[in-house]
Amino acid sequence: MECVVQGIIETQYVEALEILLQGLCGVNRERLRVHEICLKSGPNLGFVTSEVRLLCDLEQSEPTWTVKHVGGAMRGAGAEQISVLVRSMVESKASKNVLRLFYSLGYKLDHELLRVGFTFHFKRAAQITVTVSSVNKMLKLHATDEAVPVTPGIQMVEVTAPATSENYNEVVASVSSFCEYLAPLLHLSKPGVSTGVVPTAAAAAASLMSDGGGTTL
Amino acid sequence: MHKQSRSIDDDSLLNTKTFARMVKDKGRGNSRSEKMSQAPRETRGRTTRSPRISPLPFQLPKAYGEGKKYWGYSATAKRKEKKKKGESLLCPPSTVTFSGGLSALQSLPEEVDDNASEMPNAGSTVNSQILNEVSQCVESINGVKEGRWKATLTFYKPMLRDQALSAEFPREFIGISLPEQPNKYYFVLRFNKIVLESDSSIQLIMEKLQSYKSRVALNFEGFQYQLGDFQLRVGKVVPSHSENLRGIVMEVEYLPISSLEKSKQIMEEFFDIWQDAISKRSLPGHFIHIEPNFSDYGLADHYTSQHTAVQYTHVTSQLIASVQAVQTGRN
Repeated sequence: MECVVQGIIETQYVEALEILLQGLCGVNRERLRVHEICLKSGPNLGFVTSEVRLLCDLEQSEPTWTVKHVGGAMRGAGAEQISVLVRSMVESKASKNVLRLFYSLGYKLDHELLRVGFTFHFKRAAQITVTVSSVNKMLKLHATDEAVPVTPGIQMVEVTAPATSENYNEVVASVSSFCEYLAPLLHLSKPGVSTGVVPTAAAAAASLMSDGGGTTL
Repeated sequence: MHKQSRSIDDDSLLNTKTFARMVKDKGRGNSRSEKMSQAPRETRGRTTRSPRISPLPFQLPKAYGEGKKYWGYSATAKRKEKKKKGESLLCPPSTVTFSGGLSALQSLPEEVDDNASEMPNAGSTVNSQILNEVSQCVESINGVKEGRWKATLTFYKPMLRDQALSAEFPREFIGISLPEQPNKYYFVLRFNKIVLESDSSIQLIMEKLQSYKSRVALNFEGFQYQLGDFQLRVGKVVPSHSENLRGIVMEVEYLPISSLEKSKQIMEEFFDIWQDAISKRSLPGHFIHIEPNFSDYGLADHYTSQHTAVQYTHVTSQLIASVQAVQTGRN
């Protein structure tokens, strides 16, 4: 399972966010360019429709593939009280013919995206990953070179951390704590709960850009 | 009928002596393989471009002939720590190693089926008896037992809302776990000619998708041997639910070479020796080999675990076909 929160930021403040993340994480960013293919089971396959995502990492010299399944979110009163979504998630690296395999198994293309941006991976109480990316759509099938932004001027920020049924409380606390540091620039919430951009972003970005992140926010 | 505790026969003793002499005299002989063994240790077995072929640890059988190519062979990447342990009799330690591989199958004849069907767990018993005999045969040609091994092959079937549309889905969808790759899992669609290598967590994803479910599993389990530069695995086929399917599988790897083409000759020679040794045992059934066309699966000459997965798939289908043929004949 994983803990996840999402938010959005205007592209003009992404550079400031990067400076802030660099200071907070203490590691260098990694470039991100991922072709995400979402497949759904055909009409006769399975008693309910299932969905699987194939992620092709285009940043590698030889593209690598990952199969990702995102399951349902944790439910209950306890889950509603916390500000982080806890959901099942399983990933598996796979060889390059994985798309052909799933097509042969009866899965159909639902949609595809190209995510372009950067990530920070660092360890706190949990292994946290921050992804800042623009989401692009393809005008032609698999034409990643001709992708155009879905929301021009807006980028998506996602904070995730792997968790288990034993430690998710600690991971949630760690992710929540980290999100507070980003609050002047963006607000992060559970996926599907849109909170928009924050009004303090311009001032916070100006402050960060003026002194390279030395100011206490 | 053969005995369980059969002693080494005279020919095997001759082979054993020959093996010992070849190790002792390595570097002095004039044969092709002996000349190759004179290469500096640090250069042996490092690359597939100029593979070093160590001498076979036995004499070639008299019946050896170039035309015997009814079986196949392959090669697979070898774990380095094996060589570092210096377990190989003929290769120096601390060299990067490659390997060759061969899967073979012993299908059991009808008489065995008839006898076995009268006893509970008879298939398992018969399998074990023959496995013991085959293991003794490996040991009689100087195979050193290294331990147990186990591979698992699982058949998946689609979960369909309308069974009438089953023809739209793959006829044979197989998942395989191999002992040399404990963190990997392999899917093979034999009729679509697809082999996929993935992390073992893909099994959990398949469970969560609820579109295919595992139908039956076959375990291949037995013993692993080191025999000079060869690694042998012999094991019985153990179905998870039924005792009707029986067979013995043998997997052979030639460690110094990972090229299919370059290991071809020495694998042929090894198999001829093996056939000669096993023929003296009067076992029911016989070893056969079905060589898949790896290029159909997009696999190259450099052997990988994906080749092994394809081989297990084809060997299993041959085993099932053999059993079905026996049943058809009986009916």
